[in-house]
Amino acid sequence: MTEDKTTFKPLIWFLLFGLFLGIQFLFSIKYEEPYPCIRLPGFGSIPDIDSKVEIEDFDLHIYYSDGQVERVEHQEVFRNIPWWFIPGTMNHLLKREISSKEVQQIEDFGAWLESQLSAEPDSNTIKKLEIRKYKSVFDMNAGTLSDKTVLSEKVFKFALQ
Amino acid sequence: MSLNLLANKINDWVKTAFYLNDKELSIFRILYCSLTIFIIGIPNYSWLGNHPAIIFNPPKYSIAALFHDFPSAFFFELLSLALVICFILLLFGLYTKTVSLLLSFLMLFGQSFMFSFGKIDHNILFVLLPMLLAFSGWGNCYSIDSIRKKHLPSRTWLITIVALTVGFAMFTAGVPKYLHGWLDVSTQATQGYFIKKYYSIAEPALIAPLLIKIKSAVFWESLDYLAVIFELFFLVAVFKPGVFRFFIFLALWFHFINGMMINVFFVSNYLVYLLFLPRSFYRSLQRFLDNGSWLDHFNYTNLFIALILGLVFYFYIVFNFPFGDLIMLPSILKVLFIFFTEKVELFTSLLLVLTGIGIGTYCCVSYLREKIFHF
Repeated sequence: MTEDKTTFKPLIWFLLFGLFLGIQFLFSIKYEEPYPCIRLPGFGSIPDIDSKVEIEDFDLHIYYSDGQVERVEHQEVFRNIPWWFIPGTMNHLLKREISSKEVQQIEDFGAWLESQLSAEPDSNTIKKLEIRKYKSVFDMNAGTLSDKTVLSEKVFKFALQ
Repeated sequence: MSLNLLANKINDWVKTAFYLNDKELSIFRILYCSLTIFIIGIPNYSWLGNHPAIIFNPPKYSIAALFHDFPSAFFFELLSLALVICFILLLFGLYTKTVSLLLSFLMLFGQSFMFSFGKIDHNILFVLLPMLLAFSGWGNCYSIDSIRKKHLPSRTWLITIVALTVGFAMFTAGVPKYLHGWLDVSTQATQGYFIKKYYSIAEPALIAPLLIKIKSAVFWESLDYLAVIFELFFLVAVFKPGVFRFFIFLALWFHFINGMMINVFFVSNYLVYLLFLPRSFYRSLQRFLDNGSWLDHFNYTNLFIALILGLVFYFYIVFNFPFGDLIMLPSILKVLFIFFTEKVELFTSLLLVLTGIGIGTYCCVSYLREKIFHF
């Protein structure tokens, strides 16, 4: 095999690449993590304050056209999404503002929900989806978990088919 | 020492620190591809196409941010198929340089959509590896390119660039921990994150129910310290290859323990770490590929190794853990297993019995020939 004879090429690449790694890392800290970015999860801030850790949880309620209300697990609705992406998706839905141009997206979401829950469109349509985010507090000293309190909630209403 | 001399010295270090020759590096190429295809599974994006636009939430600075919705399911099926073809071409070393670059670009493209659920996973080392080694000459041997006499200049110093990337990636995990005060003895960050995970996932990790009972601040604070020190010093270790290899060894345990605690295994990183196995490992594989036939290399040590591998395979199948889920195509191993156990059980049983008899007979005959009949 031919050897690469260019004298300082390895050193130059090593230094340039090192510089690139540093710059992209600083960018990800100062602004927002881009993708791609060569970094591993740092987790960041300390999760416990006075030995208490906040734990988030979500709750989904489906309201059907016949008046039934069903509590469903988010793992069931989002079963085609890896579990570790679900909290991010739920937080996104809770914050999502829908403009008048995006009404169709809500209807598509409703149709998608029905397909996920195998609801029968003719007889029992999904009228409304309610998402709630809860907080409970774990006491690290006592080893106990407090009751849940609601942090935020959002309702998606769907036009009846 | 003059600047020129210093530059020469560092340049030589970059060239030789993690040196593997073309043959050894080509063996790594084969391992990277075959372990992905057979064990871990090729990344799969075909599941991405059937989600409503309302949940599309790409990273602000990413390729996916240029889109308003997930592309169609057909598009992601084509992308996944292209990845399969690329991995197979890379395994056999056909158009190695182009395929290496294409493979990384396709994975980056697919991943940027996969991370459009408000969370970025960090398997970037696995994704970028083919791109980093595209110009290294890792297709120069044991490849169709070598038969076609399409050789690249040997640039195995690119392995040092990969080492720098690995060390730096670990460093980036340590810096935020240090800055946010993980070394403050009045707080136990590892315990806090562990508790958050424990109560937020449906199935706690294997040793999580035991760990949740541990309240010792000393225990949890020592984990905080170990994590920060280990991750920060990984970058320093790059400059001492022996120490770096030791850190790689520690990283295996680090990921494994994390997996046991919070179900985060970083399995794909293992394939990158493979590049930093002692050179003797690659030398022996090279000798084997150059000189031997399978039968010439039979001995009881090999049989022992085969048994250990068999056990690993057994656990892999039994626990199906931690490999294989939505985001990976089922590996060939998994497909074979499903096919043989669920579709043609009788055939499988026969095959297993016949294979067992064949291997058993072979071992007995070899032993008798060697120890009793001396021929």
